[in-house]
Amino acid sequence: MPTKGQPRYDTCWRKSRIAARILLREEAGKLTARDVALGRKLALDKSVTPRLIDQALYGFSGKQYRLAVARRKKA
Amino acid sequence: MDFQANNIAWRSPAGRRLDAFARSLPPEPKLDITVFGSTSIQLFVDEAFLSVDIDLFGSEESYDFLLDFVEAHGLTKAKAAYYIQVCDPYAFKSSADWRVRAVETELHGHLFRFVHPWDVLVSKLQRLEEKDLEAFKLVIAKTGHPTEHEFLLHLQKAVDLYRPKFDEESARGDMFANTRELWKILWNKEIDVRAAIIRPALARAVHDPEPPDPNLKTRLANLKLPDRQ
Repeated sequence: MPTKGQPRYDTCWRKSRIAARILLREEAGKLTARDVALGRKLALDKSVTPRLIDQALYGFSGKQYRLAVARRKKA
Repeated sequence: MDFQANNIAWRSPAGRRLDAFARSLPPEPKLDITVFGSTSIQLFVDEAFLSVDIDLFGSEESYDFLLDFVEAHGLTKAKAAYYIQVCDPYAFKSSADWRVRAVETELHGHLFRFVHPWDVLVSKLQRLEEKDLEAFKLVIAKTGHPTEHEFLLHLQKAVDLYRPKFDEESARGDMFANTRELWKILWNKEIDVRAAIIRPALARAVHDPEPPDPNLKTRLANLKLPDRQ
């Protein structure tokens, strides 16, 4: 567990998971103004990478996400 | 070849020597001993396959204990005609998953692990002296395996042995040259080691061949609020 008040070493993963959640809300048509602002901020953050967002998306949605990716590729 | 614990040739010279060795060990500490080299071939393939020693290693922690024990019981090269060679765990290099195929059995309260003969052959290929070549010929003659294709796939699991050696290791044999030599002798063929062994093995080892969607961050940057009806 990270110590309160101390810097964390997992911020890139945490931010990428937030980014992934925002993208999932975008797909569901449930974006809020706060999501849009935060998403744009995270898009500029170098520690938030497509690889980490992708991993988070897989983690959240598993098979469902893989099937959606396959559908998008087909389309 | 029936490579199972109930098929170990305990009446072979190596079997008898190992049994006596295990019986003479004190009950504590409980030892975990891996037997490699020609002994596995004698125990599982041909009792008549002779070797001058039994190569084995224990855990890092038991290394000194085993060395002292073998010395105290007169089982070293200096004192016994058929001796026990206690090796460092790093002395045995073979395919990455050799432990999966090894046979384990309890002997007088200690765990003995026997390396599969094919993995012994891989370790012998690093040296490939005349006696090592004889081991290949014997295993194939007695069991019909490994075939050329089987051994090709097996060597792919030992791809790291083909990496360049440290300067300090230069005395050891050349896996590239030895593999080519082996193919000529056993199968009367030339082999392209890189194409047949190294490249396929490296391709299989690629962790994640599918790159992530590169547009994820672009999508984040261009988020728009949904139209409210």
